[in-house]
Amino acid sequence: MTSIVAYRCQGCGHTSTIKRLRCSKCRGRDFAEVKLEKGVLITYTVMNVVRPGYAKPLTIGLADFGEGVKALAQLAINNPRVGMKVKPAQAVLRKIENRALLGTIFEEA
Amino acid sequence: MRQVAIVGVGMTKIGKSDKNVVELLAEAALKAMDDAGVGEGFDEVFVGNMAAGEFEGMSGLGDALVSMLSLEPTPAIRIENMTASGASAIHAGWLSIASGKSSLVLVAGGEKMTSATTEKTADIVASFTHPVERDQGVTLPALVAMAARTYLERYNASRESLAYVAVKNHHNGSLNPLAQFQRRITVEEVLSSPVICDPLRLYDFCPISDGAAALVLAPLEDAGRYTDKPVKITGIGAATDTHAIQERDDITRMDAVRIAGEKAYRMSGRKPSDVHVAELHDMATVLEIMIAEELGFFKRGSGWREIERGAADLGGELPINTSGGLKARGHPLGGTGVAQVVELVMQLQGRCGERQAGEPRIGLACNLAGFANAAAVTIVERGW
Ligand SMILES: [Zn+2]
Repeated sequence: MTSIVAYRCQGCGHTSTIKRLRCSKCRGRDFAEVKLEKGVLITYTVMNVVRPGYAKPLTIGLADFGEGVKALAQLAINNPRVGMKVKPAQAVLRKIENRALLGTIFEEA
Repeated sequence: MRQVAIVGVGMTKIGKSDKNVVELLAEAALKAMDDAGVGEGFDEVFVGNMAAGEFEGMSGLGDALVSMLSLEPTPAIRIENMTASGASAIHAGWLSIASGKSSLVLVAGGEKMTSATTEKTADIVASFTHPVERDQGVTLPALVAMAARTYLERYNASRESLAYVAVKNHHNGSLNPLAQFQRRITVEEVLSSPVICDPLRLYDFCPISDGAAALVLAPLEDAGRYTDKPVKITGIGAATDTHAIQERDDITRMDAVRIAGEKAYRMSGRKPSDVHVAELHDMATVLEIMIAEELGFFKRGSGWREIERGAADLGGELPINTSGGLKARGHPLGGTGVAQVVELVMQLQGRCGERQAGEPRIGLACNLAGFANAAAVTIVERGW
């Protein structure tokens, strides 16, 4: 199962998908990786103007993975709805010439 | 700290220009120098610009500007703080005078954007985003659209209220000869324009712009040498927020704006209800509403209704974006924060012609960096 990696502070437990050198809550410097597997869609948009190399239209959304941890990713979902369950999946994020950038997106859970 | 006054203002026409960014900055600067009646004696020059390297392959804007104006050997530096580079340049200029280091400072902000395609421009503007989010393809309009969806749902706000911000600001722009858009629009036109990032449409967003604006700053005690109507900078405040948007508790909240505003209010001893006229960073319609709420002009969740009923019109309780705002005056990135203050100065001095909003004595500008990744607020007051 594909998952999103998050970083849990070993000092206070605060968790974020973003890697910082110091915890935003307690300034601790030790983190352990945790896996996020189920989220709920908070908001999304379908973009008709995209940056070079991205599919058009491009749907992106913000999902809540619990404990206040959120992640933003492309959605491989035709009719997204706020409140729907999503799960991470691997996909090509961007293609420039023949070089593809691989990453984690969300699909319907 | 010494009190600081704005003694001269200048701005180019905003829109599509054949000039490069240095030529635009120099045109605005010369207008501001002529407005102050001063041609020599600058101690420092600050240039607000976000991305001349990316748009035009240029660096060294400070030296280039000084040289075009024959102001060598005045020291000159560029200030970069994303789309709030202009306000940050003003704050740097304020500090230079307030500290006693300088007695005469030129601040110019500008950007040349129209040489790039819309897609390339979206890419350059998105360079402020966290790499984790940038890789996913986010753009600034997409982030704003996601916030708009939540704002509309949470507060049961009408889609028409967002469109009304564009209608109001185009109306004001039609009265501003230097604004990019001179054409008035209707709510129906906004709601039938092409979807850019749903739920937001083309007319919810500011255009891509070339242009520049400039100020001459001096100690208030010397201001009489340059003008009968000096405008005091009484409050400045700036703040940052998380680089990645996914780390924020609530996508509709802009803590950087709230904190920058609180600092500026505290420094000036003013409160939201003291402000007579405001220029807020309406890069998209919904942002004017969200920023107005963060700054305490309207209760949270009620800004859409207040603005829709006319509270921010030219004749309303608090006229917002009398210049036309980013939406209609235009948004040359690093120029915007300076252009906002140029408008406030002209309003305070009673120089705005058909768009004059009564006789304001206190004005506030809020310049946003990225998706409120940072914000800079400036409060100005009559100094005569
Ligand atoms: Zn911690």
